[in-house]
Amino acid sequence: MRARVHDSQALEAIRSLEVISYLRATGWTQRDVRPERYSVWSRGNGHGDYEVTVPLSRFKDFALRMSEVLETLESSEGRSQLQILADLSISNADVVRISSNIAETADGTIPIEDAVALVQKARDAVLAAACSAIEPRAYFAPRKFDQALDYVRKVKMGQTERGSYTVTVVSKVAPVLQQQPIGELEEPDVEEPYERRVVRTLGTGITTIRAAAEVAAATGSLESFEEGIGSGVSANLCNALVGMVQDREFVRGLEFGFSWSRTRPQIQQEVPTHILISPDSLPVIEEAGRLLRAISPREEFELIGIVVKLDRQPDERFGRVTVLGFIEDRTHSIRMELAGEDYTKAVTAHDERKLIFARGDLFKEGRSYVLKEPRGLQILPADREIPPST
Amino acid sequence: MDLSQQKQEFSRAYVKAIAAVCGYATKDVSVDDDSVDLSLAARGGNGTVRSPQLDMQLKCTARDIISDTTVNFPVPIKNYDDLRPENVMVPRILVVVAVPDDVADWIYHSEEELLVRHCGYWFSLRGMPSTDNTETVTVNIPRTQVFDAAGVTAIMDRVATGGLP
Repeated sequence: MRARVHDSQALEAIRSLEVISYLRATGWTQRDVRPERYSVWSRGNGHGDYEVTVPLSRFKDFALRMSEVLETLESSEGRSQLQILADLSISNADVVRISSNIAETADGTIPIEDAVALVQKARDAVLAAACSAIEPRAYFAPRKFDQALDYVRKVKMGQTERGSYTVTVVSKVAPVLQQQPIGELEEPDVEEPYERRVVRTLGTGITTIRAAAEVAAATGSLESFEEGIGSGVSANLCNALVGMVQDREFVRGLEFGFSWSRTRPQIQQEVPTHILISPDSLPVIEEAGRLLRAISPREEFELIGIVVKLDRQPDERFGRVTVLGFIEDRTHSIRMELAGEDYTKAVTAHDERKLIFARGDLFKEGRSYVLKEPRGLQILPADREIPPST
Repeated sequence: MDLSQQKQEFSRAYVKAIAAVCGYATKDVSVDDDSVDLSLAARGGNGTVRSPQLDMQLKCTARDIISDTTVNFPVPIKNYDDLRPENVMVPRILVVVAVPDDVADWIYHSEEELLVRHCGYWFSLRGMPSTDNTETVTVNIPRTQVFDAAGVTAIMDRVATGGLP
């Protein structure tokens, strides 16, 4: 006995256009349409001809008619109405299912702290992919691209699913407008919509991270992660994956499932349906995330420190200034090039043993740091305490 | 089973018998919608519904409702309001089955024939005005609108071409 939907509220919530998208994507043919009234679809299979009439308006018998649509789909597909109903509402969306296979989920519950982390980090992972889809980088600063932030606001979370505790990320994507006959699918001429590129980038990013972690564990080199930046690998994505798991002891692995909108099928099969990240990869991924962040420039970095070295030859306009400052609570030597008044300020600060401030883009070069395009240089008042240097 | 349930089952059996003769399937309504008792439709794959389709509210009465040219049936206000709306995708009608007072007289059975008493009539309340009545609204169904095989076939033919019952 399959579960059936009798609840008129659930039936009223079905959207006609989603049903139509679903029918079109699953091989039904529109036979007749009365605009703003109904459209009639048919499909033949071994058990005879099936027909559904989809109401296109909020008729008084809308729920009743939708129940008949579901009954016919149930009969023609041999699947339960609940499954069909779930698919209907996401037929025009890409869905990512994320589950951390924790032992506690046998009874369908997980510690609330783990649930919070899973949802929060799922969001971070999507945001990281949304940024990589715009411009691949090793690390994205807290100020993200507006387009990526707008996208994340539109992403939905579906009902959690039983079994292992699963968070579903639902990303709606526009349907393909011209119908391509199955079997003759070719690469699209036009670029895919951004929504689709984000989910695909998330998929390729995670796939690459999984493979890179194996390589890195064997070679001890970060190279495989760096090479994957173009595929969506970033420090942010690494950190998001690592953060999804609170207690590695109890986790069998992180599992990602990808399913693509039925109304915009995935043409190149770059992303596997399932990706499993084993818990022993997590420390490698965590370290890779830290290193990717370290090698990536930090925009709008605010440097406060003490001038420890000045070097300008008489014929040079720019002088090289080395400042001892803090990067993430650790002291580092940071070089920058200054000219004119700024260089003079650095000399004064050095003379008077005062702190200076500068804002710029921080790059790591080899073992040392460089602050490029320094701006807003100023000598801080004497009462600013000099941070203790180690 | 009390008398009202017997009447309900009897009217369903009557409608199903006529539908069978016309080659249409009847379908119980599975949604929690009590304005439709039975739906009449063509049969699609695996017994699914296909067009044309007709929704029915069934009533069965032993009262004397037959006059010279009309059948005068008091429709409960709830059913009246459910049957009036024009914004329905599938047209709906009221079917009134008149039966004798005594249940023993509803059916006469011999080896030669099965006689079902008395007769069913159909009526579309579509577009009828709202009312201040609180209990019932009496509708006057022309006695020509008999729910028989010819009548049902004609209704379904009209519905199939986008018309009304």
